[in-house]
Amino acid sequence: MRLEEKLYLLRHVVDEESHIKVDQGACTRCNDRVCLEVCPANVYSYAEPRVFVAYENCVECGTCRIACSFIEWVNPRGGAGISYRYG
Amino acid sequence: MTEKFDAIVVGAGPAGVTAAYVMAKNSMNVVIIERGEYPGSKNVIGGVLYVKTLNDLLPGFWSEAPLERRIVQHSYCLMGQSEHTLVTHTSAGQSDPPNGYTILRSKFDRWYAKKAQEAGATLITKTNVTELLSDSGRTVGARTDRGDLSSDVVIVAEGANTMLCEKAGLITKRQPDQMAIAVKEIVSLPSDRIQERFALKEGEGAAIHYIGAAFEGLVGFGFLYTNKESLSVGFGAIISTMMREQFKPYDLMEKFKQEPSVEPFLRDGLVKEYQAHMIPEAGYAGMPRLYSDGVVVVGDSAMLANPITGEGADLAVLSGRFAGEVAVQAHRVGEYTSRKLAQYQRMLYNSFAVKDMKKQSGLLKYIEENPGIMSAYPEALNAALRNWFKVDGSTRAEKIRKIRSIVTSKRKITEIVRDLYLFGRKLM
Repeated sequence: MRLEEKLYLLRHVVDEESHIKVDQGACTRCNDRVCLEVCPANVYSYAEPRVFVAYENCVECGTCRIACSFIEWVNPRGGAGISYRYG
Repeated sequence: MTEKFDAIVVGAGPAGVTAAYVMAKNSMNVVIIERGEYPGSKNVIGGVLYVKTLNDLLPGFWSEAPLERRIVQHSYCLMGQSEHTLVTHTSAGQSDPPNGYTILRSKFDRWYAKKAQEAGATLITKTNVTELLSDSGRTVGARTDRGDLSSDVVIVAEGANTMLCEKAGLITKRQPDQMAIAVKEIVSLPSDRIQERFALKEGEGAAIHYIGAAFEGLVGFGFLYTNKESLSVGFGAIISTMMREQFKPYDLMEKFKQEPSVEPFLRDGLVKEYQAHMIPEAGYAGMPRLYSDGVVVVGDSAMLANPITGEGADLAVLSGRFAGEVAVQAHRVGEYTSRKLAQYQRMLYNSFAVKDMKKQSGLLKYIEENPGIMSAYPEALNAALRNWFKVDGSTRAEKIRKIRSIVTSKRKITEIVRDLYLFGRKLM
């Protein structure tokens, strides 16, 4: 089963504003781009010269925030974001 | 004009709800603030809630709570390359209270939060606490995205993402070697199918922990738990080791599900939900001071998780209870100083849970520095058993010699001695 199909199963309340901010200057110079590796929901993608953030797919684990110090990650607005039906 | 409470609890997981329950039972005016749509909507558990700590607080809760299956079967699966060894312990007798149950957080946390509400606590959902309010170094309330609240004490149960604690200077941001990423799927199957596949009776459950080949190079392990009508399958691995090996979490998940020791259990099941969460793994050594003037930190935020036993939710309950009790004492004398709240950390340090965590500290670091260790032993064991069971014309003495050379090809004698010594000292 593909990740896209799995993400499609999830219930999100989408906020108009992204709760994830990246430092594009740092992203352009970054050699590792661990964000592309560690995110379980594939929120980050790279297309020269910038990193794109599909914040609406975020499951709020916070792994990217631990892995990269240039990601500014806060909780989505109250009530917004992932809403697990099983958990 | 801000509303004033005796206590604000940030987060309606088991740590926060327990603290709120204890305080509300003791006539304190308590509010729980939860950012999710409902308690549990942001939360993930691998699978098992060990009953002990919650049963001490709410005797017999397990006969009433929305639980999945009572765990009667614990297994370790040691994975090699296209072979595996399963070690299973089954206990047919029923202990009182039972040892552990699988749970699903969206049901359990909602039920548990209701208990705190019945005890008198107020629950506010869909509200995010953005920072703790302080006045000359003392925490005096919380700022939310719907306004400010003030209180004598704030119990921070924000979970594994400790942004509030960091902002307030209570905790330094965790490093990739101090946290694990866990990914899990809920795979639905009819209950009679689950019972047949795992040789269980109705209501009974199984827990399997997997180590070895599929997680080669990682400090991590897989798990499979039975719910009433679904399986919880997934893995947890230290983030720094995932970065080092450049494994994508979702690829590893698919690889694990295809393992010959996993796939037959999942066959024909439908994926219902894909989840990810972090687990704090800094252990005792990474546990900071968990209190300051007017504030106490509990649960995952306080690094309370034990990767060896799989405890987490029960430790959250334990810490929530201690925090609640200390807050009640503070409330009685009207003093919420750091000196007064220090009793919380003393209670934690004297508990069975933190004593174990203290004893095993350094173990994960050792495994991380010896990345071969978690796959070498399972592979050696599988190779040894393969040779042992094989009828190929060699004598038993020849087989023993061969097995000995297989084991020492995976790990040198000196390394084995060091491993055994360390594991013995940390775990026994």
